[in-house]
Amino acid sequence: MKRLSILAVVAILFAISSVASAQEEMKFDDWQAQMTTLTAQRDSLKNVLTQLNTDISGLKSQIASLDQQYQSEMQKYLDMLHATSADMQAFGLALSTLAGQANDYMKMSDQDLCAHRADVQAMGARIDSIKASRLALAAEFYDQVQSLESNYAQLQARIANCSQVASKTYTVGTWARNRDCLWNISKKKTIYDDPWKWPKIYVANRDQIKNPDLIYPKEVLNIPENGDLSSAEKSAAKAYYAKKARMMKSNTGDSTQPSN
Amino acid sequence: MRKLTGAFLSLLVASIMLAGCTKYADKTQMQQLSDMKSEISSLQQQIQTAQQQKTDLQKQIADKQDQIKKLQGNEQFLQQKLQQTHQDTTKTN
Repeated sequence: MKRLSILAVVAILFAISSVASAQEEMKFDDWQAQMTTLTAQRDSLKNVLTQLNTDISGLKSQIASLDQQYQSEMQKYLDMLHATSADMQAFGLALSTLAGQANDYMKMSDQDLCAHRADVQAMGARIDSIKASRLALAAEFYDQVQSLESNYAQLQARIANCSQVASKTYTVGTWARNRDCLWNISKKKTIYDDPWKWPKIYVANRDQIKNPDLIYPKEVLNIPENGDLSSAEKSAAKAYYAKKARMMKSNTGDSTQPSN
Repeated sequence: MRKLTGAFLSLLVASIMLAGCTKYADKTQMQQLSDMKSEISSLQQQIQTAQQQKTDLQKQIADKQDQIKKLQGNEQFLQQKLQQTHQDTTKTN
């Protein structure tokens, strides 16, 4: 009975160790089957990769050909426009700037717009110059040019009514009697009660005032509503003071306020 | 009892013989298998990259074709406008 037990234990141990070693190692037949499957898979993948690389190479040459076609079409287009790419860029920038200014003016009240009448009118020449270019007919700019033109027409119509809109006018008197200059007019209690606001009167009447130092008796000046100086008014004042400073360098003793 | 011992002995001998007859893959063959799996994994990765590149290139081509089409449209538009302007000028004169 004891011998039988020992034999049974040995047999079980041997069987267990055989199963364990079989799990660690791979049967040759299984190895061969796996190698066959994997080799077939590898070959198939290699074929797929080769095909993909061929496709990629074809696509790259197609891109090169399209690039060439694009360049050629672009050159043809620029020749039709009588322009270069740089010209197109500059035109686009100028057009955007002008359209932006027109939009700003469109948003202004009639009163403020009338104060900028001269600036708006000056836009006309710039718009004409833009329209004269072939680039204005390019699809990229055509609609923007049309819109600018339409906005400008509306601005002109509004400006035409400026004299009716101006809330106040002032008829210039003589220097001897009234001491009227832009500085003094602006200082009047009935005008702005602030001499530093003279640029408002100057900018609103640029069509008749060429030099802020020179206004003439019986001239009828539009007086815009009181308020802070606009950027155009500030820059007009700045230009005036700069000019004055230059003059003072050559002729000392000149004042820095507009006078008659 | 003797019969039972005989049966165990027979079982032992049979399992020894069975284990000894099975052929297993050696270390070199197992290395080959491992190398093959690595190669397949690397190929799968390369295919994935190539497929992505192919998709990108196809998109680039579509974009370029659109650009050319747009440019040709712009040329036609300009041609029309130039003709229109020319006709207007002729009428005015």
